[in-house]
Amino acid sequence: MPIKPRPADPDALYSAVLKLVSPLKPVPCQAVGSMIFINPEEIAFITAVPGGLDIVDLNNARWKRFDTLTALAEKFKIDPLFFKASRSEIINLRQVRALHMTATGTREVSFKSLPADVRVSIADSSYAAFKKAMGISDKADAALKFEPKGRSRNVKK
Amino acid sequence: MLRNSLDAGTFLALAGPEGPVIINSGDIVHAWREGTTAAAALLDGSVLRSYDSFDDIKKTLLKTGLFIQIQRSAIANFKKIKTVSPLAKGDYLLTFIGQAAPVELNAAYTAEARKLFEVKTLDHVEPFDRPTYWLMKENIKYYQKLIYLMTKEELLKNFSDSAGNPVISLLIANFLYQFALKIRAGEAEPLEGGNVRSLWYMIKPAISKLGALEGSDHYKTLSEVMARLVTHKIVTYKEYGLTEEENWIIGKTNPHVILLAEKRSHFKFIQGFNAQYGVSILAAGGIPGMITMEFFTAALKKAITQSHLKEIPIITLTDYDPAGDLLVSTFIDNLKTYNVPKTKFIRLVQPSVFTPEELEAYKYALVGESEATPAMVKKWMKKTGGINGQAYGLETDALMITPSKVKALFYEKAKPYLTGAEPPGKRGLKRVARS
Repeated sequence: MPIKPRPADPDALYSAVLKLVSPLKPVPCQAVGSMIFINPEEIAFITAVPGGLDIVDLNNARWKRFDTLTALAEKFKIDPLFFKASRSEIINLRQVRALHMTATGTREVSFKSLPADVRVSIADSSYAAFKKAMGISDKADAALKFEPKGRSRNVKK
Repeated sequence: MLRNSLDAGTFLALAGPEGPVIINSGDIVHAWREGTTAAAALLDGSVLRSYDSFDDIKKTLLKTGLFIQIQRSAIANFKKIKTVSPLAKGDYLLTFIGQAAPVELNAAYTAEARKLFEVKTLDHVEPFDRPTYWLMKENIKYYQKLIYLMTKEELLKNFSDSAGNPVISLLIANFLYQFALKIRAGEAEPLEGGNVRSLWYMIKPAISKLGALEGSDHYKTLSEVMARLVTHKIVTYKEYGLTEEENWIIGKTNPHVILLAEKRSHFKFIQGFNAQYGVSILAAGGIPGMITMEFFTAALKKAITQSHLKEIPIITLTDYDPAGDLLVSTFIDNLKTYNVPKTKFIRLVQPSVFTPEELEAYKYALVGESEATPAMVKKWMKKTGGINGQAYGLETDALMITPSKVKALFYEKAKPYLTGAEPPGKRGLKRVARS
């Protein structure tokens, strides 16, 4: 007897698709003499700079907009994977490669396809929401704070 | 790629090099009428012909909701548009993701593109910040190290063209912006009482390091770059602590009425109008510099009320010739730059105020005049008619021979805009003459 396929949970399906494709339209940015449209999935992060915002794409190119970060965050509200990491940065969770803890105790993220030293800080006040959005377990979170003593057994002599 | 697949709406049969191929509509960038069929440009830059007519292809692709009409016989996949650049007459140039060639978006079809992109205009992003845009256009960046302390190698690295030649205007623009930022941050002091030449002495050694002092007048370059940055509202003369030779006075009772004299030597004479009617006066001495405009308009805007801004009469004591009109139009444009937009140009020196004998005596031929090119003369003739249709002009001094006539004419022209003013009677004339 053939197995009857189970109907998919629409919410689960939507969040799975959302991880791949943004519901946002291409974002118009200002270039010299033209407007350039950036696909939202190709945005790594958005950072506030004097006079407006820089949209940093997967090629590490910067594109200019003149809104405030709060106004843009409002426009991006329909895509929950654009996450306001601090007062001056929005990150695209689709493009987050790793979470790091610096020597001074600041949490920073690095991005897929961007140089490893391009990082954005997560404000302490935003970390709980970030942890939830990324599905970081308490155990993993605790490990981030753990400072190994002595030589790791995995490191070859 | 994934977005491309999701953007697919339908499949079309097109004529490939080896026979028919089925193409995902998400791979089509734009399509246009070509004879009885259509041609479609694909993401990889290749162009394939259709088997169906353009109208059938258009109908099918428009149904997907991803295509928009861009010309009478062309459609484009709006999801594949990378850039939109304004062209003349309301048209735009569209470039696309991938290798497809750019195409024009006709002015008649912009509404749908604006709707799909959810933008008010295709000219620039909204909100728009003009000074920041001009910073981008001037290629001005923020440099941590003081530009005038940079080594030759650092200067060349930051301010040269692709061939490695120094671009002095770029160096100067960046220096001026950096210095303004430092003053704003309290990290540098304004040049109290200095002038534009003071800024020149600061950057001159850096230009010397590049061996670029010889041959070109870069003090002139600095003055020009400075005026441009001020026009674009990136910096102001005032914030550098610069001063100017004040050849203007803002009126007390009628500040909104501006008497503009072409020659600086007339400043003393026009001061009488300021004293008698309380009007604002400016003796330009040629086209007024941006520094004069900045200080003049700042003082003017403090003196006038919102109701005055409805119409600012500019009564001019300028030559009746192309150069005189250029001075006035530049003055009016610069007022607009400083948000004094609604002005009315009222000319004092014009043929109608002279008798035929006077005209014959005072007129001079514009042909061969060094101040006006033939194109300027032609344009001016079209606008004014010259003197009896001939290319002749009149100097301001033709009217200044009779100062009482200037005074009477000024009163006649200014009267509708003046409050609490009396005609230039004998007392008035004497007072003006004495001042």
